Amino acid sequence: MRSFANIIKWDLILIYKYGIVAVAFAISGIYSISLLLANTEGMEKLVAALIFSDPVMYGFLFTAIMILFEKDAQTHQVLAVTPLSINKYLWSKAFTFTLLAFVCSTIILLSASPNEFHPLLFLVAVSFSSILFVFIGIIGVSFVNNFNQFILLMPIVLAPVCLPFLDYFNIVESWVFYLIPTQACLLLFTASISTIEIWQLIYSIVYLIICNWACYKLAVRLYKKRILKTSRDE
Amino acid sequence: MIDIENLRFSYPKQTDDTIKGINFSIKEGEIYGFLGPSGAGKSTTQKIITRLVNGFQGKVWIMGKDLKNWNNDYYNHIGVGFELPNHYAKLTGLENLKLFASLYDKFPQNLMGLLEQVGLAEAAHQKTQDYSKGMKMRLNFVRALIHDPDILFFDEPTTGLDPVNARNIKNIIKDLKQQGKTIFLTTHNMYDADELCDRVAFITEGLIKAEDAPKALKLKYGKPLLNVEYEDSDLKSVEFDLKNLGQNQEFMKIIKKQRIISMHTREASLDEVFVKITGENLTNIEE
Repeated sequence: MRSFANIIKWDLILIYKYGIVAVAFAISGIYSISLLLANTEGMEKLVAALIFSDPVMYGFLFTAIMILFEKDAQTHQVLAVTPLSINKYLWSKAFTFTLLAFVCSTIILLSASPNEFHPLLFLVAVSFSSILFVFIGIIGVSFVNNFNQFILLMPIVLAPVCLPFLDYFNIVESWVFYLIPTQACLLLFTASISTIEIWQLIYSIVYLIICNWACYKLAVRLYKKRILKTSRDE
Repeated sequence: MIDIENLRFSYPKQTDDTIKGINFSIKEGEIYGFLGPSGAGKSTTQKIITRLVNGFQGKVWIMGKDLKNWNNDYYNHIGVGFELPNHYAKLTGLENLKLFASLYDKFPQNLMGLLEQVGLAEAAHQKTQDYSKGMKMRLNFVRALIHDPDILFFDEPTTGLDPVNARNIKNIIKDLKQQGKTIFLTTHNMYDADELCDRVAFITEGLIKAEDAPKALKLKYGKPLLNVEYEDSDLKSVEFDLKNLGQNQEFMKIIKKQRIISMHTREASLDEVFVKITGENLTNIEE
């Protein structure tokens, strides 16, 4: 447990030193100022989508950047010969970027001053969504060697993931969108500042637990096989 | 400390074994050199012992325990010094050591003391992105020591170092042996192996071709001759059989009457022994 707390501490230091925290706060600042200047009355859906698409989905990009930095420095092989397990390493990344996403999301949310706010649901929405995108980021980065390749990969991953926005903004309606976990994320964010059906809430939580677990398992497997290139125990 | 019995390993999708049934034992407090060209199986053997690959056949016992029965606590007992620098560029040298030290169960060594040992104390608070290659290599080396492990694996520990720092690293390795550490050294550098190792193994094509103390190998494969250079109007060189040297009249005459320039036994160098046994040359091989 001590090594898990320590790797989280160092991951936080690393994202600060590599400038990721500064970039995240700068983006959040721009969004917050825009929301403060705009009248967001009755625009809960837009605010929820904004929070989801920015600090949460950036977890995907930031995780990839951090792992590419480590890949470039070849520190993965050094971590692999310490008692730190692969599980702890990956959960530390998930925790670190979720914490960052939570802080940035809260700043944006407070700027929007929503009429309704459910803190617990907001915490669940940020946590589940951020963890999901951190693991998708690890899966994505396992197929590339540098940032340029990752930029090319991003639309391939993000385009299908963004499809539920069509339903969310009532452009195209289909039950198929409920198969994409983004739909569940958007519903949870909406629930945190507005009201959704109870079945939608249950679907969102259950489906995100399943998707997070599946993505985590795949992330562990790909991290071992393609990044660490080892068959070390987890 | 390390016992390997009939070790075999092949990578997935490969038909031939990379390691073809090797046996060796390393005693506690011993420095064991693993010498061989690229693709010989050195790194694979080290990866097996450090548990970075599994799926091997044979027996691997570490500190009296089957490797397959160790959990991640195993890494509290071993330290690995990599061949190439691998540090967090935005962290200082000291921060890099602190990060990795925090992942072990054992109380970390005096980190500044370790940096001092390799001449990095003054650069302790400098980001490693500003380190030279030699400084990064020295940081690599001391990082393996932060948790005071019982077994150490060093891969080309003097590569990229100037003679003064290479000498310092070799002295530290000798000190570690004095402290009772068991050291597994992988190198192409025959001079380092000759100086540091209690025993060496020559590995090529996944097989250990010879294993003994460097001195024993050199004597076994060298010639029992003494080469004498002396001045007699011009420089002359002559060889004598070491057997009954004291009764050799010509030798006695030369050392009494001529100005001796040099005298050397013709024992083989470790490099020559390697070539003789394996038919391959280690010089200038890059892995």
